Amino acid sequence: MTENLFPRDAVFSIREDLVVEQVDDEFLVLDLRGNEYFGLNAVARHIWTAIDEGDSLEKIADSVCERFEVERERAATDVADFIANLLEQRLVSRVDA
Amino acid sequence: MENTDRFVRYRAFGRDIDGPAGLSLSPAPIETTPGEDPALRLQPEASLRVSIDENLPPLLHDVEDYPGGPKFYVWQEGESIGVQYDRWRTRLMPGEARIDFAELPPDGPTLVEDAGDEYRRFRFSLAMERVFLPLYALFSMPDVVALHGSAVVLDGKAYLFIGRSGAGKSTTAYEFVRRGATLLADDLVVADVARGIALGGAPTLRLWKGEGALPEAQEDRSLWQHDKSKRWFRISAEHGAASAVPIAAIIMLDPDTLEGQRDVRPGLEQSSQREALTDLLGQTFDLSHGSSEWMVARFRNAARLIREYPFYHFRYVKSADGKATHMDALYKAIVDLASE
Repeated sequence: MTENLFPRDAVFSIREDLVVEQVDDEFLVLDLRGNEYFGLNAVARHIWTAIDEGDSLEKIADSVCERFEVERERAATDVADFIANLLEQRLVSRVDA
Repeated sequence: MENTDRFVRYRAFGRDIDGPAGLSLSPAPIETTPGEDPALRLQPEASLRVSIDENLPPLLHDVEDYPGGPKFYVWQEGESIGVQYDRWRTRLMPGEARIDFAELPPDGPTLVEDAGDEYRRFRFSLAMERVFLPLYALFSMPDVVALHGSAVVLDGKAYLFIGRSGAGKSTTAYEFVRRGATLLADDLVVADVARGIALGGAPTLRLWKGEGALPEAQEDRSLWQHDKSKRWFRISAEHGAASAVPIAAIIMLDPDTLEGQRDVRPGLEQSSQREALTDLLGQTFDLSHGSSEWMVARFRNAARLIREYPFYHFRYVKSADGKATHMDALYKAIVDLASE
């Protein structure tokens, strides 16, 4: 269901003032607005990088499906959920709408 | 202090420091190479003898050093940084390798004893090595972070202990010094991540112990009436390090007093880097109103430290009577680490 949150060709943009550091295979992101940081595990990092490269929702779901060997439907749901969460926290915005 | 015209050379935080005679800072070693950086001059400046309490500028930092302790203010003054702590106001001038200072008119926490000259020098030296010099390092070098913790040297390498308030950082340093280690710093540990070194320079421990409890100390005093049960133990030059020492590891002291976890065996556990960075950031000195540049530099330097050095948790159960019963296990673990 959550895949329908956004159209398949939706594109997002990461807020420019976020600061990212890689540790091991994960990201830690510093949000200067609240001087808070949050971690991104390997899957979240993969999605984050894809958003940053301007990939559409569909393309991101495809790459998660392939890279982490999860079912296509499950990947699409997880990606949409994760992006919805990022939007809610105002870390990304939708650029195609 | 302000009337003296005699300057001597000290060594702290890896650099030579020219300052008024009689301070409790470590003397610069004779017949050795000079410190890594140009000598810093501590210069009395009478015009700073005005407290900013009454007329606060926009502050970068505004805290009590610890609950009930001295006020601690930091602000920008053009190219310089103003700092007021305890009874001193200073102006840090990295561009000129200089710190100007003045003693403020009496105010603040009630003193334990009447302010004799020796007492004033001890207290000024403490403020210098625990606040003004670490801040000077932070504002003058781009790759430096300061950690809330203590650091000791074993086999020429620095072991940095961090942890929440009450985790036993100073007690750990005390126990290591008693076992023959060298004290590098207590309270704020300054790490230069570009060079991979910890800068020694604050070899004074604040401990809940009686007079003379640390034979390696050259001087010990209590300072404020409200804090009388704690004494400040100034380690002698022989048992303290005032130079730069390569970092070996960072250890987060993690006491656990939960009833259900009494069977925790004290030991070192290596953390994931993300967990380590989150823990480290929680124990990294921060300005209460720092600029975004400050926050980014602190974040990036902390991440670099975690990428380059091992980070361990030392989990242990605190004994009910507050005795450092975990110390044998911790000391052994660090000695084992040092011999790897």
